Amino acid sequence: MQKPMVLKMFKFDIDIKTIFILILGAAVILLLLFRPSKVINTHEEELLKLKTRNKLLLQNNDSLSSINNKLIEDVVILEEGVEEINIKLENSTKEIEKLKKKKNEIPANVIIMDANDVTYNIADYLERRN
Amino acid sequence: MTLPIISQTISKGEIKTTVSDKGDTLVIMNLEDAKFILSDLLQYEVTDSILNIYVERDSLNTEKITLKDGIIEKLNLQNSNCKEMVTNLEEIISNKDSEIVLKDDTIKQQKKEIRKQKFLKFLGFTGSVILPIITLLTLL
Repeated sequence: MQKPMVLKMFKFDIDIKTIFILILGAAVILLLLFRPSKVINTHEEELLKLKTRNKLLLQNNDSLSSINNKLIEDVVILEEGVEEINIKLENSTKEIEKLKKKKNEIPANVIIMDANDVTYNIADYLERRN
Repeated sequence: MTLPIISQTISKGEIKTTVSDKGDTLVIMNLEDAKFILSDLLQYEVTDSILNIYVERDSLNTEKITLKDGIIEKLNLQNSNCKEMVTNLEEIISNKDSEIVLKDDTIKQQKKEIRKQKFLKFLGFTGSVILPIITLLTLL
């Protein structure tokens, strides 16, 4: 068998077995270089489930937060009502004190009245009563 | 004319009735007694006014209690909502932790694979250099 030109030039003694080994070696190298990588489990499904659940929980929190804001507004309105009542109660306390003072002064005022004043006041009382 | 206080002949606590010449029924009493009655009347009148104010205060207090009850109810509801929000947030944190664990696992796998690929690449390139040299050495 006649040797190729390159082999003749380098004076290589190459036969079909060597060529076969070379081809196999090259195939092994190529296989190692371009070997497909192992499929990595990225847990896409689980992550998607968790993200969906979190989104739902956040939405729930948002709605609860808006309900709470409405409740705070209601509480403020109710507190204003309580404050108005407190002012009225305070005024009535003052009025009661005033009337109690007036009541305590009555005997002293009546004792210095003359007959005409007594008559006038009784008549006035009867008129008010009617 | 004599002053009424001097003209009285009726004693305290005594009340008499008489009919005048014109036919009017007259109730006669001591001026001091009349003053007592007037004083009591005026005091009762004021007491009535005070009582009315107390009734009004009672109504106001009832209204205040109703409003306070409403406030407590709303605050309780708000508190319950806050608790639910906290529970939700805790679950979110737990889910995030699970996400981190899963992603850590992915990263671990990827790191392992990268290391393996690096080794194979090294092996491949080394082989592609060494194998021809060995072949050449064998052939020479």
